Amino acid sequence: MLKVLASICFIGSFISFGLGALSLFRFPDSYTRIHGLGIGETMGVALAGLGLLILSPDWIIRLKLIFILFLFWMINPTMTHLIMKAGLLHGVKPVDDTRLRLREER
Amino acid sequence: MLWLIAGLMCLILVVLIRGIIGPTVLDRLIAINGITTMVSVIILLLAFARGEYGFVDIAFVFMLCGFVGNLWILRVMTPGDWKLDLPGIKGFEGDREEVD
Repeated sequence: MLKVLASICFIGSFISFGLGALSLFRFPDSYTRIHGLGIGETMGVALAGLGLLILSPDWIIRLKLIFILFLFWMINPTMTHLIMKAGLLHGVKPVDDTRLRLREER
Repeated sequence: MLWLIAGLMCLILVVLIRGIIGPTVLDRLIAINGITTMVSVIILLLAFARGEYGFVDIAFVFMLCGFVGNLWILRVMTPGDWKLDLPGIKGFEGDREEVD
């Protein structure tokens, strides 16, 4: 039973990673690509960690896994944000359909 | 569990294609970020597949080293303070406060 649940989590994790990798080839722009890959990888790591939490035999390993998942959820959106900000500072222009509305809201 | 390791290895090759043919530096950075994440997940799965639970710490350290490495590359790419003042892009123009 637990193995079936863990296998379902692993299948979802593989689908998330695959969609994230597919978004690198289907999107027209660096910013949309990093959006897709960041979301896919965050969901994939979450589902893989959930499956490993089900399979783990000991409490200290579960604590380590929870710590890894928490830090990954902190780090990966920060990293995508920093890469996008560095790209904007470096002058990589988005596609023409993109609308940046930061100044208008003030 | 082993099929997920094999699938993630194939996905690493797919992401590496984008890292090779990527037209800008951003695409290569995205590919590096994705490959680091996938390799840390592979190490986590290997820890549970082989029964050697010390690999969990190795995956943790690998994830943190990837984060610090990406941050260092970004820091080298864009020196100075990170303040958005972009003359070419609509929405980020102007209003810089001159600080002496």
